[in-house]
Amino acid sequence: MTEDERRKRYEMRLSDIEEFQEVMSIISREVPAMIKGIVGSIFSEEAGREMGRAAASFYAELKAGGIPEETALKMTENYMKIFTDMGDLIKGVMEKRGYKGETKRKEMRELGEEISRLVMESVKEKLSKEIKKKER
Amino acid sequence: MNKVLAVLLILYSTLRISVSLTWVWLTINWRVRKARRAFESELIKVGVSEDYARRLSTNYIVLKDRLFSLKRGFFKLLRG
Repeated sequence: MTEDERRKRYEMRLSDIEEFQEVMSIISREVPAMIKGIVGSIFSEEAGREMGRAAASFYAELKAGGIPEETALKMTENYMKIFTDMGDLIKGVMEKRGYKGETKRKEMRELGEEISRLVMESVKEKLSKEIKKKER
Repeated sequence: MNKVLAVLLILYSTLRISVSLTWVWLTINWRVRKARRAFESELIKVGVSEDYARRLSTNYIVLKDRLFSLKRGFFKLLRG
């Protein structure tokens, strides 16, 4: 390896390292802020108070409507479960999307195969007709 | 840029990510605690017992755990 080639190789490696360093620098700045922003909007004192108010008014309404305490508490618990099921819902949607994406790719592949089969058949048919015409 | 300096900067960024993520994790736990307290106090105001309010507020921990497991799933998805 000549000196020039060695130098070029070294410069290429150096530029890769510099690029990686820039990427790492951006990630270290942006990713934690992004996570904090998303999760922080759900878990804040204000959000907790709002959710508490909603559950409390639900419970108070049930009690005012004459529902026994035990049942009202159970219903409030079920009401709160909707809130926790939100995580499952997002998870489910993500999984379903992935599944659908896979299914769609499979469907598209099958459709492509079907189209090429039909095209081939019609070409064969036309060709055989042309041959028969010529033979006559 | 010097090769050694670039590697040192990468190490610095990695350390910075680790510290930031630990800080985010601590902040979120603290926020969950605050949210739970606020939630419980609202329920206690309408006459729900303290024990039951605490039981209901555990939903916050469940949601936090689910969201964190979702985040792990997302990173797994990124890795392929």
